[in-house]
Amino acid sequence: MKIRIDEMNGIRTLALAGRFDASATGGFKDTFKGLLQEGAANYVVDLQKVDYIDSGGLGSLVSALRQTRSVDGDIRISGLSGKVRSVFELTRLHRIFEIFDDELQAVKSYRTN
Amino acid sequence: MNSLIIIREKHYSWLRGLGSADHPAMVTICNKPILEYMVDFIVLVGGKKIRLVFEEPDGSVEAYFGNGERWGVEIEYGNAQADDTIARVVEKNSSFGEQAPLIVIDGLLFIHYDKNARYEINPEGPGTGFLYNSESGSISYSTADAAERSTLVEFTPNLQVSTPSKIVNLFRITMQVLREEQHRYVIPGYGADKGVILGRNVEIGKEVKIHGPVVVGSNVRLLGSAVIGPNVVIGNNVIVDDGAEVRESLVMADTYIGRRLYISAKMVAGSKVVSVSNNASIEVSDEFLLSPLKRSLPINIVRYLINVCGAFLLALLQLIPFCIFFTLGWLKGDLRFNKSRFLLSSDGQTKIFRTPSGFRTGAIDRIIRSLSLDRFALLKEVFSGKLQLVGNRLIPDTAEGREFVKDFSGYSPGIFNYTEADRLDPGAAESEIAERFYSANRGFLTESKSLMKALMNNLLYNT
Amino acid sequence: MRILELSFIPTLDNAQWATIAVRQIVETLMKTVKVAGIEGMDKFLSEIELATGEACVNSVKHGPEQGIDKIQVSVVFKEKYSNFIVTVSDGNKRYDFSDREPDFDALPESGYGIYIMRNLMDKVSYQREKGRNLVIMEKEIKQGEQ
Repeated sequence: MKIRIDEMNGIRTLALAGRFDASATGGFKDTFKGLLQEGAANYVVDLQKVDYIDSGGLGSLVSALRQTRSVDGDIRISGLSGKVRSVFELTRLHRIFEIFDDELQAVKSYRTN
Repeated sequence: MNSLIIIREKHYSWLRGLGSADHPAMVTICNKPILEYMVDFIVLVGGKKIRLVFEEPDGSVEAYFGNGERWGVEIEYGNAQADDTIARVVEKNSSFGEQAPLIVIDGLLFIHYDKNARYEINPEGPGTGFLYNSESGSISYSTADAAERSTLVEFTPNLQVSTPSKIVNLFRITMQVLREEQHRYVIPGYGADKGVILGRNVEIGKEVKIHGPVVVGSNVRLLGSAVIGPNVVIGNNVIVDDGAEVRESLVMADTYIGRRLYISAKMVAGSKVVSVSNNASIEVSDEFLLSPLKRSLPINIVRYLINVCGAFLLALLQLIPFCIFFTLGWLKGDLRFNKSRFLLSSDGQTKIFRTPSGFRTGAIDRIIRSLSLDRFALLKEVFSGKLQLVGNRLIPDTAEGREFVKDFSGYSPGIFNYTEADRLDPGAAESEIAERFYSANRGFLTESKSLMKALMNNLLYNT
Repeated sequence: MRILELSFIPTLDNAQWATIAVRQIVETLMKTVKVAGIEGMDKFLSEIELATGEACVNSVKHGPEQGIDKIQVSVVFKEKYSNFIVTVSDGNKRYDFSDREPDFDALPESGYGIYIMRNLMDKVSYQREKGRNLVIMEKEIKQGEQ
């Protein structure tokens, strides 16, 4: 899975592409750990180009969320496709993540919070 | 023009489980989900795309609406958190809101539109504003290049909006639609007499009286000399027993109303009765008086045990002859079987069974049929509850078969069937009549008689 | 009835390949028998893919680090019943294949796997046979997908 890191309006964004499955979690966790250490607490994770996510991928998103919450931050999700949205709803994660259509809107939402 | 419909399930959680709807948006008014009226309204005012935004999706709404093809509109689905403001929800669904004028319906609202009217929205220039705004919800409109929602905007002609925020309101809305506004909406069912609309597969006893306006759902049985109406809505899958009287009331889906029960100005759902005048509600524990009706055919334990005993006895009697004659038949090459898929119930379950086919009239084959040994292999299905010992004729799983069974809510197939018990021609109208009659009038004695007749017929007419 | 089997050494990468392969197999088999509508078929395939993926990953995770006992995946297609049966078997210790739903409110980071399998497939069962765990999942093509 590819992870593209960027920054918009002072918020760190991660655009993921490909399969977010158990074999990709290691890479995601390491990347995220590195970003947290740099000090950013608020993130946007864009899943527009993710065509498959399993419980491993979901688990690592939840783990990342916990870590940001422990420093009073948040992870907001953007670009959920039908398939990924179904799995989110099945595992009730739509209740704990703020979900946006669009990466930019998700970034902007931090300012209005 | 696009539309966002924000379904605030948490505000309407009291609607859950009313009738058979689990999700508040699927609660029905005159047997049509309230959300469907909203979708109809958007289509009426020119909407091309609708996104339904949920806090607590459960798949039933998406299963019902699909991609919106049926209504001539594109339907999408999204999520929001319970405390999100409208602005926040629009933000979250930004790819939806940016391209065209947007109507946002916030909450589950009943809009008293008229399908025959033409509606226009009148902002001047790039406009935004509320067409309706109340504590329970709002309808707002903005053109593609608008900023904030502030001023009030007019809708021509004017619209009344109601909110099903309490039982009383749900009742009032239903009565209003029923009494005065039936012609304004597309209400499911067939209307023959003025003000009376009936759904599919409605059984009406000969002495039942119906005083319009009345809306009846599908798979409803009105028995004996029941009296329905005026001003009554009956949901799907309801039985109103002999002598009961229902007026000025709402009967939600999956309910059994017992004999001689008198219901007036109430809302009834399963075993719960709510008085609309004072909002008091009672739970009725006597199920012969009032009870919920299970949607699938109830597995009657006593009936099951009788079937199992009968099947067991028959199996014992047939075991030795079966072994002897089947082996002989198999050795002689006289046996022919068809494997086909048959329908097990009116909700579409199917199974593959082997049935005798071909007519190699070898002596062995005839003996097997006369002793009904060809059914031996099916006896085990009684134990799993898939077949009755005696019941309806097994209908094959074809398009025609499925259509037939869909309208036959009492369909319960058996190893031996009523048609062969009465020696009727399976294709004829008499067969269908007999099947439905026996199906509706099941009893230990009649079933035993049918079983005996079937066995005797096989014996007499096959040798 | 068609049966196709594949086996792989337990690594997460191999589990990924096996999952993708199963999806391909199911898709090809579906195409040989029905003219499937695009919308329904994609959903059906994605659900089988995800359920298979969860089962394979579980097998990899519950096995030893450098395991050499191959994981076997078989796909059985019964045309007449419009039914697929996917079986994932491994040589690990006996599982606790429990029925419990994860406690969603506690935000668990794992434990969703079996719950997902049960919700996406029609039937999920577990057997222990000859020293191997077998997870057997069935899914039938319903009318809408045809």
